[in-house]
This record gives sequence, structure tokens and C-alpha cells, in this order.
Amino acid sequence: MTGIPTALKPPIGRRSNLYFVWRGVLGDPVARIAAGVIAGMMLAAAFAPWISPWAPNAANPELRLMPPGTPGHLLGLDQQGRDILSRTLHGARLTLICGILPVVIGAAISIPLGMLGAWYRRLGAVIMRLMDVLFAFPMALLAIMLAALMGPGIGNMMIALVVTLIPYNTRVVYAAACLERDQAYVEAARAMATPDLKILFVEMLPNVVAASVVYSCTIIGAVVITAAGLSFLGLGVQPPTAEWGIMTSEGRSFIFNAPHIAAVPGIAITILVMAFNLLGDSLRDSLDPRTRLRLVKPAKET
Amino acid sequence: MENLIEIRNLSKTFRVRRGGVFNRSTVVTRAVEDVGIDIRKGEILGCVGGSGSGKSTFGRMVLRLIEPDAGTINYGGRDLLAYSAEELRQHRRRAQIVFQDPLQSLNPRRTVAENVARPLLNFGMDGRAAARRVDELFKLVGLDPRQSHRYPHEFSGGQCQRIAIARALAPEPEFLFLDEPVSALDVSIQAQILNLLKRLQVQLGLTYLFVSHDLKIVRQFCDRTMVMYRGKLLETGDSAPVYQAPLHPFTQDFLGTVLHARRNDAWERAAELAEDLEGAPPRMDGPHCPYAAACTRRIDRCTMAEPALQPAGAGRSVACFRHDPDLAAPSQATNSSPTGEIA
Repeated sequence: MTGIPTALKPPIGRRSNLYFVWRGVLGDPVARIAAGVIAGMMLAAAFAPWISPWAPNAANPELRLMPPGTPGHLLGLDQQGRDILSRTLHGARLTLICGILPVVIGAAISIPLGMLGAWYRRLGAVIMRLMDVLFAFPMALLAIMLAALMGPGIGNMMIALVVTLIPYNTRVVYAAACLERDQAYVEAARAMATPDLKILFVEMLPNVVAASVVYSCTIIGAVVITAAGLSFLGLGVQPPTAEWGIMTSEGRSFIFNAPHIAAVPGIAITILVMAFNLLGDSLRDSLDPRTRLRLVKPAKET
Repeated sequence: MENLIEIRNLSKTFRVRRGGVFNRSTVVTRAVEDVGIDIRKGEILGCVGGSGSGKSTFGRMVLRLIEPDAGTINYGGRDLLAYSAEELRQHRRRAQIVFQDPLQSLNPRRTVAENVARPLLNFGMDGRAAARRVDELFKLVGLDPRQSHRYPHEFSGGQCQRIAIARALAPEPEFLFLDEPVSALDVSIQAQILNLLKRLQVQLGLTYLFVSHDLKIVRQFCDRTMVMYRGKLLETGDSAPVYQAPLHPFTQDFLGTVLHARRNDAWERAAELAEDLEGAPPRMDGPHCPYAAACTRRIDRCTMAEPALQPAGAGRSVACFRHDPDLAAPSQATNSSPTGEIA
């Protein structure tokens, strides 16, 4: 082994994390479908004004409550005679934004908070007790309380959702970071005079972030539903606007006469949540060097 | 030989708080108590003792990974404990550590090249130079530099330990603390790693503090040996005489079976016995010899006072009243020579 000629390291086999995420997601049929569904929803949201057959708020009172399959209205019409397909396509915009943005912002706050808490134990005790206070309220109740205090509006609703999410994600990150903190490689990093913040955000972060990514993907569903609840109470998105949560709650009153009004956006929410959960699982595998080689074995050179 | 590190009266007590705000109780563990020893430049000092005897804590204090409660460490003529943060940072170049579990001591999410390059980057080397140095280090420890883009889990335990050694050698240290570096490895791999460590020690003029519970390895590998028990230093001296004629009753019990039996299973049993000796805590009040409860050669004085480490000739020291020229009571000492049976 010692007689190897002095050649510089060949770049073969050196792949970025993004490459493995890409390969991992494409290599796993379930993740491929999930990613496809999410991409499709994002495209539908982006191009809603061009692909939807009707304007989201254009009402045709004569055809109200008509079931799916009504000529010109593929998914039927709601209680005011608005086209459900068009409303669902338009609603994807706000739903995706309300679901994803608070989770991303919440994670961006939670990850440093949880890691600093795990590293500086006194600060950690303060942070985690503070989180316990927030935990004392049910997620929906806390969001309602905050949104009510700040007043209606999409911006305020998102702030309320972010605050609601922080304790959950912080706890996940804190637990993961506490495990990593006692690993020998962290002590090795100290012995190598690595500065504290570098240990935290260069050495430990890649090991901690996977837990948060997976958790964030699973919580997107809960956030969409909480956002819908806030909208239902008149604290988030205001009623005429198309949004899946509002559409579902509006359809509730007609659940026996016209179940499709609530079912269509409800199924859309379900598919969205499932897609994110499955994608989260796949991301966890492809972000971890220990499991991802299995995923890309066919493409791996010796 | 010149002393690299002079350690005096080093102590560390761990306090673990139990319970909440109310009925708080504190469990006190005296991990290391009043240990003093010199580490000479270019030697391999072995440190043996059962589990929980404070070996690893001692080594980490010498590196200042754990702050001692009391005592002094004089490193190369300077007081290590008085170093400022920046001085300590610079000191990390000179003293490094190799851990027991090679896989855990490497960051699993970073390639081994990134792992090895980290200390170089910490001390201001630029990326290109660090990459060249990583290749050099890989060859130094007998690995193929072309594999350096791989992740730690793709290597075997022995290879990981080579990588960990390469990382420890990256900032060109003069002192390495080896914390049971081979005890997580297969016996066949152990020999390879020990040979590598020996070769590096000669080639680079390193000084080692080698902690192990494997007596056989310490005997073969180390120039001098220190024997610890319950955080106390019981005996020191050159490895050969300590192993051939141990002075302290604990060392005799600890080594006893090993020196008679060459077979591996016999050694295993001896090691288990040694662990057992650690197990049962003696209940005694007041000062006493730490080994008094289990000692077969106890004299009255052992339960009343604690023996200090005394020179016992030929560069050896022992903390036992039986070997204290002033105190050894003739009536009790004449029965048998304390070193008789084993030697």
C-alpha cells in the first residue's frame, strides 16, 4: 500500500451532497413519485392563471353544488357555483406557501437555537424551559392566540405559525445535538483546537440537520391544516380567496349534499402531506453517507 | 533523559448532581487523586489500571481536555494550566490524542480527507497545501491517498485507526496521548497498529502516553509503566522490572496470572479478576491505603494512613507501607518477602 506513486487525488468518486440527494430521490420509486407530485403541485400553483379553465371567484349560481363531471367543470362546483378545479389550482399557491415557508423559517431559527442549547448547557436549560412554556399550549390554540393578538392577515398568520413550530423543531434538533455532543469526534475536534462555533456548525451540523429535515417534512402537513384552521376562524387567509384549508372548511356544511366540495381540496391536502412525508424519508437516507451508497450502487464506480 | 511533561499532585473530582431543585444530592467521584509523574522526552509511558481507575481522565487532563481541580502540569518548562486561550490553541499543535473507538472519533458526514485536513485548516494552512499534506499523512500511516475521498464507514476498524493517527499527526505534534488505541480492534490488527505507532514514534521522535487495560500490550510496547487504582498512582518504574517483580500488592494481583500463563484465555480471566478487584468498594473511614480492603498483605497501618509514593530504587516508586524503609515493621515484614512469589 505504501508504494503508490505520488498522484494527486483523482476527482472520481467525490460527489456533493446534492448529487446524492438527486440520485437517491431518483433511485427510489416512492420518492420519485413523491417528488413528482410536489413538483406537479408547484407547477400547477405557478401556472394556475393560465391552466385553470375559470377564474377562481367566477360564480355560476345556476350550477351550484353540481358534482364532478358536470360539462365544463371537471371537478364540480361549490356552494356558490365556483369551479372547484380552478379554485384548487389557484389555492395551491397559498397552501404551498403557508405550508412550506413557516416550516423553513422555523427550521432556520430552531436549528441554531437547539444546537447552541445543546452546546452551552446553561443557555440550553433556559431555551428548553422557554420551549416547555410554548409546549404547554396545543399547537392550534397557540397559533390562534398569536394570530388573534396580531390581527388577521397572511403575514401575521405566518408569524404565528413560525412561533408555534419553533418548540417542536428545536426539541428535535436539541435531542439530536445532545447525542452528537458526546461523540468522540467532537472531543477530537476540541483537541484539534477547532473553535466552538466551527465545531457546532461545521462538524456537528451535518449530523444534526438530517433529523430536522425529516421532521420538517412531516410537519408540513400539520402546518397546512393549522393554517386552514386559522383561515376558517377568519384569522388567516380571508374567505373569497382560494385556499385548500378554507375550501375544505367551507365545504363542511354541504358534506352530505355535495361531498366533493370538501373532498377535492381535502384529498389534495392529503396527497401533499403524504408526498412530503415520503420525500422526507428518502432525503434522510440520501443525506446520510452510511445509507446512501446503497441507493446509488448501480451508478457507483469501483 | 530530559522531562517533557512534569505532573505534580494532579487531582480531579467529578460532581454529578442528581434530582431537581428539591432534594438535590451530589455524587462525588474522585477520578484522579494526587497523581505526580514525569513524562520523559521520547519515551512511551504506559498507564494501566482497571476500568474506572482514572487512566483516561488523567490523560485528558494532561492535554487539558478536562480541567484539573488541583495540581500542576509543567509542559516543556512552562505551566500548562496558566496558558491563555490563544496559547492553549497553539499548544494543541504540540499535543494530540488518539481515541479508543476509531470509527466514532471520525466525523461520519465528512470524508476522511476532510477529517484529516481539519487540524491543518484550523492552524491556517490553505486548502491546497492541506490536501497535499493529507496525501503525505496517508502514506505515512500506510494508506492509499486515492481513497481519501471516502467516508469513515467505508473503512475497516484498523484503517480508521490509521486515519485517526494520521489526523493526530497532522499538526506535527511531539506528544501523543493514546487512549486505548487498539482495544477496539482485532488481535491481528492490534499488532499492525502497534507496529505503526512504534515506527512513527522512532521516525518522528514522538513521546507517547499510552493508556490501556491490556497488560500484555503495555508490557511489550511501553518503556515505563504507571499503575493506577481508584484514581491513585500506586507504582511506577521501567516496564520490565515492574512486570517481572511488581512491588505493590495490587500490581502483583493485577499482573499475577498474566506472568504465569501465556495462553490467551488465562489472560482474559486475569483481566476479569482485575475488574473484580475494582468492583467491590471498601467501606472504610478516615485515611487508608486505597487497596487496603482487598489487600492480602495488609498491616495495621494500611487502614490508618495513606501511603505516599516513595522511591524504591532503580528509578521505581511505590505507594505501599511494606516498602517504606522507615515504617516497615520488622515483625510483619519477615514472614515473606513482599515480592517473593511472583518474581
